[in-house]
Amino acid sequence: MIKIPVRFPSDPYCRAMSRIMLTADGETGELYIGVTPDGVSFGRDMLSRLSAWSGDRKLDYTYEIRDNTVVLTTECGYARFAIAQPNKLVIEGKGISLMIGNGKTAGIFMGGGSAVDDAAEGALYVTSGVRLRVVPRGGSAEVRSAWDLDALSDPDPRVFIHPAEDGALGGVVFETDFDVPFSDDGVTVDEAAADMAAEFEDFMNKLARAPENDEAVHAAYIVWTTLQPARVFEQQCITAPEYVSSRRKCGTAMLADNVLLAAFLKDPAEAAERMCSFLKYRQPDGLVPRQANNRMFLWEAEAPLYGVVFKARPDICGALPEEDYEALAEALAWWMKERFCPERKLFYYLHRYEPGCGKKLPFAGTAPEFAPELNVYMALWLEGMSAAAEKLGRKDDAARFGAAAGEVRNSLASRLRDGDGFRFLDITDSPVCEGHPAAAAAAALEGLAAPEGNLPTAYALPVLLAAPSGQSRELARSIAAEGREVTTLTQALTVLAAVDTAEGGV
Amino acid sequence: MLFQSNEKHELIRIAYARAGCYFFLQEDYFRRILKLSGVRSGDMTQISDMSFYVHILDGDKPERYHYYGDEGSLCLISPARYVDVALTADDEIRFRGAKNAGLRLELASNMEGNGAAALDSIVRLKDGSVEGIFGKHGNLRFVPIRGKVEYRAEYDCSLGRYAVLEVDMLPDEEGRFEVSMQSYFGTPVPEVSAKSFEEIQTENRKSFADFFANYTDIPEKYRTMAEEVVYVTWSHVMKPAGFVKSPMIMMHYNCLAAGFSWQQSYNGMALQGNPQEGYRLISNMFLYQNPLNGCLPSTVSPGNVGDFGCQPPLQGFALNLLVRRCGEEFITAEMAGDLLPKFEKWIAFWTTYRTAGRGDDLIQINNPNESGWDDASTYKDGFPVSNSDTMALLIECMYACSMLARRAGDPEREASWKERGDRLLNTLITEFWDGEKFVTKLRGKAVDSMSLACYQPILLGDRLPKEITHKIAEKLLEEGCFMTPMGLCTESMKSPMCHWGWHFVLGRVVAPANMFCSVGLWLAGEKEAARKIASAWCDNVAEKGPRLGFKPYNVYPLTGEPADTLLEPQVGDGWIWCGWSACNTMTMLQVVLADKE
Repeated sequence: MIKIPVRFPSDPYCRAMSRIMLTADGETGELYIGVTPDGVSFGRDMLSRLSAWSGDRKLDYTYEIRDNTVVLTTECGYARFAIAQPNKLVIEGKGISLMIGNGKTAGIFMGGGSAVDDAAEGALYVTSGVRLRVVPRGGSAEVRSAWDLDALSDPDPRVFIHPAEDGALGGVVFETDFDVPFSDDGVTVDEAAADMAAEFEDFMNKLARAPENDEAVHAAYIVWTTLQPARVFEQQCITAPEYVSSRRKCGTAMLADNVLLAAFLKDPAEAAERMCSFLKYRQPDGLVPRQANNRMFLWEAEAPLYGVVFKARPDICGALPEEDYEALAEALAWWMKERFCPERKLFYYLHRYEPGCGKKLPFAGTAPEFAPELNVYMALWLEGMSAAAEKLGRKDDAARFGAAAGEVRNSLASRLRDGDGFRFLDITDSPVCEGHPAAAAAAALEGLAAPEGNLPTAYALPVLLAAPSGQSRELARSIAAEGREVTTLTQALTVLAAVDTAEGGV
Repeated sequence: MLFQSNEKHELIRIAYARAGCYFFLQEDYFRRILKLSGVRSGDMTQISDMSFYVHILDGDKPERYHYYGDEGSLCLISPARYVDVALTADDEIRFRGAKNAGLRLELASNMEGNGAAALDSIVRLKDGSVEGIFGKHGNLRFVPIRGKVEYRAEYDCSLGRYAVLEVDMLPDEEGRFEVSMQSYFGTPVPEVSAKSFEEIQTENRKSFADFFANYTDIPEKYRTMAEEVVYVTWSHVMKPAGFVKSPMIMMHYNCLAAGFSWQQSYNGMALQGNPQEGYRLISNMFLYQNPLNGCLPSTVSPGNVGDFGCQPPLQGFALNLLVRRCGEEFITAEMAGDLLPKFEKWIAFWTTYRTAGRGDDLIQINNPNESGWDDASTYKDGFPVSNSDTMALLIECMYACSMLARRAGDPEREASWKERGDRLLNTLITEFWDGEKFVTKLRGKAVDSMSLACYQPILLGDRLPKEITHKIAEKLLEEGCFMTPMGLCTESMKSPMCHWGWHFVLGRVVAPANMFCSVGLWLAGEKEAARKIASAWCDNVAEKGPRLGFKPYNVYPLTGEPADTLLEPQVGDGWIWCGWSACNTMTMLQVVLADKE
């Protein structure tokens, strides 16, 4: 059985398509049950502490990953955990009780919660953002709760899972947004762990290049676990599983991540599907949201990276279904209409967030910004569309896209080229954003020059995927050697790409 | 309705708003200037980043102003110049200035220290207008119709966000400006409306007048009060946008800027001049019914659906009251046939997932939101509890199903639902009436409480035995207990827990509790008691406006201690005029004080 490479405390113990997880606190040495937040988590919300007890005595414990389960060990006994589909934490153990509860918390709206014996099923534990149903197996569940009228909540709700008379501890914790019938199918910890491992292995087999070293396998685990279901009926934004930014910190899916992830998938049809996943949310005029979660679309444009994927994976051009091709064409048409200057034959950013490079880098300011990397992305996209059109037998489209790509490349060369690199221009054709890393990224993508030093992740990943290996290998080796903490999807993809590139390419 | 600084209708307690507009104006108490805030995201307003200070400019200098206006528009006046503001239902706010007035909108989050955090970007477009992007709050475009728009935006790279945004609307050579502020999401940018400022004013006034026609049988004594109260309801109408599928009524602009589930029923039952609209509003929440378990979400706003929890099942009582007042003929077979299965699923949610586990329809709730009384003393011992107030509402739902089945032409279901309602009613009377009040039970034991919620089952009216309704009438009017010159306290004044500070229903006099008691007594034939309560409430509202809740005295009668007010510094009682208060006031007016069968 493959070993799931969870690295406590930086990683949660979790799996794809399931919101529930176990996290570890490196400072306190404790485990927490958590769920993926819908948007950004602000810290300890979405988490509920696990503690071990023998009667009324709280026990110290250690924890480790063993045989793809989490094992909690005390002087009196132990508990083992694994996650089963959908959204179930399965528990088995001996000799101890477990308690879910954060201790006394403050605040009317963010702290506290409730815990009740639910005649419908088990015990219901609710705290900020987390709704857990606790169903014992063999033993019993005990609620300790005191309501505080001032706090409009119980500041310290607790649910205990007690062992049976023979000391055997068992239970299931369901994560649930709302009340549904709960059927405990009796899955064991070992069965759940084996299922997790099998799914993870299946995912790694779907990658274009099978991860071989520890860093790559770990990065693959992070990528795999960020796939989250669309979980709300009737009233929701996203309607299909998407990859979110971070299981612990941000349950929002980013357009850039979901597009670039396609380059890592072996099967071109699956890759095409992933690349186009956000297009189904587009507005009638083709604007694609740059972020999405179950409750929110962020209707802001962002540097489109489809061309990077086309360049990295030309086989996708031939695997694009007609419907996705049409959707891509609409999204492209938005950029042609809203962000293309026909006089200069260049694309521009209008708003500060559109480069997608993070909030602390310079932007042209009040004028539109003719950015070199944007025009490289657009040229690649147009070329990709031309190739895809050719495969679909759409000769006119192929010619049109190809011609447009040529015009953009000519303008890139004539207007934005600056020695061995590129520059930014504003609407008055004045250079702006000097020293911006995007210029180095554009130069690398066009095979002009390798970047000196490192690049921000937003540029490193496209360069690693689509730049000629001569321009990206040093960058790749530098990233691979860094041993970066990998907690977000973008970081994980960057490490995967770096390892691949350092070893010879995606 | 006239608004004016430093008068009864000043905007410290009242949100200046308009049906279908997702922005509102309110006066900042400390700075004495107006704030323009957006509520479309569904964020709690007091922590929302989407809020602007509104300044009148003399050149580039802000100056002090006061205001007056009506539903049509608001005029901001400084010593030498003035600016008019008109809200619309078309995602537009129109500003115009004269006598060289300028207007500045300064982005200032309601969260201390967040400043211009709502802004993601701002640019001047090719047509000269200015477009600001505010993330989940949407986009704003400032289009000069006359004069010009300038802006100052400072980005702090170290913080990674904007530190300052000021949008200035400036006069032309003739000293005038007119600017359209459009609100939208994504692209393309919308066209500017061709309507003149005067046309917008006229439309606003007509919209309010038309809305007023939803109410009937208003006693002449309360006519002026009714206009104030209906203004609040009208200005809280949320038009379809985002997750909101059909018009709803917001709870209140200042804090919980969303459509709350049982609020729609409170408002629906008050629309007795237009029962079809009342029916639509009561049924509204079923548009969001969870298909798995039948639950109705607790809140809906354009930016969010609060289906993490639910509110009590008020829909039955609301529908039954509307039918009792207006007849049931307006409910067609088709309407009834469509609503009935949804109602049944809603009841099934309660009896399945809130079952008390006895095998009958007895329920228990897991948190106070499921009764609506956040801090009632009936919950001081914790949860889960079988509370008589939510049970009474469930009984009303069963009778409503019986009525709907009758309208749908299904006599078997009509009889079956009536029988089920009768059974649960019998359980309520035999197990939860202790001779003096209805109780809430935790693990089978009555919670010791002196909450007004103990009398809320009076909403069942003449379904209850006379000895119970008479006893309730006595208890509610008993000297020194619940009754005050402004209505019923939500916790008896003889209770050591009675609290008139920031607590919600642990003592304050609030509209819905008074409505249940007065209307219930009226339905039970205890009309004198009903009138006493309703007129106390309405007389007070006529003087002070439909506030969220009132503190009846400055001293607690039980202890002689002064009654504290709010946590944060306030001068006077800071509880604002809100939608919930408004609709319940109208129900008491039309049902009890109009006193027409």
